[in-house]
Amino acid sequence: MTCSSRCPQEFDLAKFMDAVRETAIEKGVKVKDKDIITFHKAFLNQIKSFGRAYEVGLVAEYKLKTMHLFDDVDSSPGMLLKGKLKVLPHNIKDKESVKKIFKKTAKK
Amino acid sequence: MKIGVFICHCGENIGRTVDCPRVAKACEWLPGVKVSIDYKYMCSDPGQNMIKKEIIDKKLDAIVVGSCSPHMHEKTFRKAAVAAGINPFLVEITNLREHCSWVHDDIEAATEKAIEMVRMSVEKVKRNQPLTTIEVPVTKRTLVIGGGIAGIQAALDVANAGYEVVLVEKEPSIGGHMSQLSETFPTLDCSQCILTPRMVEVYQHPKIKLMTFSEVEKVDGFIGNFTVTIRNKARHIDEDKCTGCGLCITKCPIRKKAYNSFEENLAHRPAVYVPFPQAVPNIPVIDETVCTHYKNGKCGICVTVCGREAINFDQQDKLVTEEVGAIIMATGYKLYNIDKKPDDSIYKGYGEYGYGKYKDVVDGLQFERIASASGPTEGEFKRPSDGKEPKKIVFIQCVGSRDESKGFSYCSKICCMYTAKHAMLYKHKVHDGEAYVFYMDIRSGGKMYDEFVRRAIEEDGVKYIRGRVSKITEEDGKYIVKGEDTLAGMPITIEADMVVLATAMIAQPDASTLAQTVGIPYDKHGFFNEAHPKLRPIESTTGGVFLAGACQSPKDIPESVAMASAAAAKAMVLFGSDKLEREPVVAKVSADLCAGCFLCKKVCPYGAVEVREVKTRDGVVIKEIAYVNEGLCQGCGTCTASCPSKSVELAGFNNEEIFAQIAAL
Amino acid sequence: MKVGYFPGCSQTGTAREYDISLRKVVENLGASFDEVKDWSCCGATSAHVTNHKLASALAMRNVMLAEQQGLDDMVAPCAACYNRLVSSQYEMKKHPEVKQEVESVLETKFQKDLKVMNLIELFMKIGLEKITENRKEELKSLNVACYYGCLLVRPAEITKFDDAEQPTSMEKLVELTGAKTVDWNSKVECCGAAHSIARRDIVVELSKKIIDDAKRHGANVMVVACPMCHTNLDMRQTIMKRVFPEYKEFPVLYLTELLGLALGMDEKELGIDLHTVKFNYNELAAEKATV
Repeated sequence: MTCSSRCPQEFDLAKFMDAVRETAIEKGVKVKDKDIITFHKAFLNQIKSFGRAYEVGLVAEYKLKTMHLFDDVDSSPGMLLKGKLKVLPHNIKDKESVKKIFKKTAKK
Repeated sequence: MKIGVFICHCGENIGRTVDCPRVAKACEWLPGVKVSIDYKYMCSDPGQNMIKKEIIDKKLDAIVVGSCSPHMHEKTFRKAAVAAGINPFLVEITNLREHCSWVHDDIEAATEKAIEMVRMSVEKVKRNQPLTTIEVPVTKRTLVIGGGIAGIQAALDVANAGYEVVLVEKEPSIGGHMSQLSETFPTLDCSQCILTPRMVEVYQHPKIKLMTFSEVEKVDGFIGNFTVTIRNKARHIDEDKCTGCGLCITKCPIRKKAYNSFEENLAHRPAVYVPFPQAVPNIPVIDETVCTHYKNGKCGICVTVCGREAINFDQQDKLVTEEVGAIIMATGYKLYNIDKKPDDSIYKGYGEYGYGKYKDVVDGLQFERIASASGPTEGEFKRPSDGKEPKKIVFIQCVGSRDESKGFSYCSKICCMYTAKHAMLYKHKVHDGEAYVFYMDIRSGGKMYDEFVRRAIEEDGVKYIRGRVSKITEEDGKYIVKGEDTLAGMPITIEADMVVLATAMIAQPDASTLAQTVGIPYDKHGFFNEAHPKLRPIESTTGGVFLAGACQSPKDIPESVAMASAAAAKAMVLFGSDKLEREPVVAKVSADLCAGCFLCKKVCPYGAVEVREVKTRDGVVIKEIAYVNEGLCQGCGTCTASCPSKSVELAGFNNEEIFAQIAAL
Repeated sequence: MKVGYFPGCSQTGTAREYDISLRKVVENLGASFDEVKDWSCCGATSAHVTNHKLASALAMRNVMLAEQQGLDDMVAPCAACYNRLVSSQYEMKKHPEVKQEVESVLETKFQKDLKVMNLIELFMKIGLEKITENRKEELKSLNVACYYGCLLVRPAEITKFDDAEQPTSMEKLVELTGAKTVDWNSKVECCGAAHSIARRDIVVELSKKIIDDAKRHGANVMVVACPMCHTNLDMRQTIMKRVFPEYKEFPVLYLTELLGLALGMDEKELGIDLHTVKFNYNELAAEKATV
């Protein structure tokens, strides 16, 4: 947002970059930093399934897809012990409404 | 009544869409029309001669000309009519260009419409009354508001021609921003050296009445006849007794409470002060807000040391009235203060540059004071924070200018030139210093201007980087300037000792109030509006008020001086005759019909309606009626439309004429 | 005083202590939360870079639920959630076609303009005097660097509550606790945000710069108002220690934890012991005294 806030021509650069990213994914452009897209897709999959971000599921899906199996291995046990990582996901009651949102806004 | 109809082709302008020969032929058959012809360029000499010939030969009483807008050639055709012997107000212009050919494509329909329009004008002109121009006297004195270089130049020009001038300046001294500058581009003349002779000339001129520390409070009247009320603010020093010896200033104990605005807040000044040593007039002012006497009545050191008993703590503001014929606005500009956001938007401004937070991030005028030999550092380059000599200075152009989002959309015109000048001045004094200029474009379009910028780059080694600066932060007394070098295509970070911002040139904060007092229009930025941006840049739309200098738009000194002389010339055109002619298209109240409701007085935008008493022969007042001052009336017709008893009529557009015009449609 | 509450996904997980301390502080100050029933993820980072329609719809679902629940306002303590929510509201106001689309996806019609607040606005609503009234401890030994992050105050036309370049609202709140605030350069610099998992190297570089800057300006603790920032600035210090051997740990607190300490609660009940970098006020005060 810094860029958009400062531009004297009021060009919303942040939004533009979002649009470019969205188009790139849509068109299947070959991206150098694939990990980031994998992360985003994993994140959104959790929301679609449970309605809220389920960190364990997110990390699991991300690690499996990128094969970066040993990142954050040092901090995860600590976080589990502190109760910061919920082992089981929290399911919201109206999961269908969230699934519907995903369906209705999906790209053709 | 014998009427002549003249249809102009206006080259292609009318002729392409309107079939002019056909219009002329059709109008031959209108009742009362004696002759109806068309011609390619009616405003040309042969065209005008044709009109004159027809008037004389056919003994015409009135004419209708189908042509371009009356704004363009009404005067031309009226003059032709007068030359041929008929009253100029028996001439009606039908706008076949702006009202017909320029707004339609269909030739058939446009031609039909043109015939209708001419027929309406014919019916109107049959009812036109011959009118004579109104004459008003002219007061051959000028008021110049603002005592900067523009105001000084205008005042001198008018005064040297022999007319009296009243010069009003709101600061204690004349000189304006030019007196704050160190050297001027492109010659690098010492600014005060070339300015002060003129300031002294103004002070000593027998025809110039100089009022400093004064402001214009009220303006009444109209062109040639203004009555101006001026407030002479209380200096608390008797101007007739003070010799300017300066003892009071030296002895004043309050030395650190107030900042000197002349030094752009880089230095303090005592409670009794002159803004700078060469001030004209050299009479001090006591600042009531910091002087101890006004807090608790104690301290009268200045009174004690003054050998002339010139101190007068109880002096009050004085209101004086001046009668003038012309007013010249020369109130100048201010620099955009980017640490304080404009009142109506608290989210704009350039907070990322840290101006106001970091002492060594300064604006253009502050840098001028630092560079100036009479400034707070006596001309040596010293950082405001610690007094050390900066070895690396970064100059940033376009701060707040050309910026729709956080500043002003316009270009401030002078910054590219004065930034080059600043960098050169710095390099001339600090030989091992480095100067960097961040620019978007370089605008140096005057005489010897581009050569001046090249000199900065080629001879003085100033490094120009094309790009903008995103953020300035401070680390251990150095300023980390993060910007982009767009020509190299990469970000660039410079650790500078000092940063100079070329902030936008904006209108004075009270410009809009002053404009309303004087009665002239201004734009959304507060700059005064000229009558026409191309052909009438000196006059405002209000008759008798002229514009000079940066108060109209950002500009440099040569342009301000040129404009000032032009404004003076315009004023003197007014004084060329003893009487001014005014168009007789003014409202007139019928004394018999007026019921005295004064609705017209309420709606008149020019204050032209007065109250008149109608008395019997014995002096008993029967009723009060409205009366229109012909000098003030601008012929707008608002009173005519508002009068419930139809007792106001507008000469040249009275009810009979208009209704006939409408009925003819 | 009742305030609507939109926790956001982190409050139940990685930012548990933020939720704990927030609830305790709000209760102490005499207000209560009306949590949005069955709220869902706002979409945060991943939605707006991959599918803008999804981003608006996910965020506005929660606004819709809040409206249906009869709430007039709601606080989103996570700066990313806050920004996502107000940005979606702004989009809908500015572009009626977007409003129509969102309403059709959610099968609802928005009746009112729900006020979405961030943490600082919440305390302004509750009333700063309450903090002064209820303060039990004066946190004199703390030199606080207030970190706003990039999402709390930008873009200025959307958030509309503090200066986008030199904000001062958090400092006002912190000073009520008796702590001193430092003036530093990285108040609104980005910490690396959601690159925490996919590109940790970026996060470590950016976050370390911020912490170094705070240290250089004399701070001994940093205060944040966003769980993402806290993760990056606190948890990632383990990596900073690994990569930069001379690196010394620097405590990072949530604004609510700081307020809680001032209101007389201790580190354990506020959940401060769940941080990666240890923080204990009395120890820090003792250390400062010996220096």
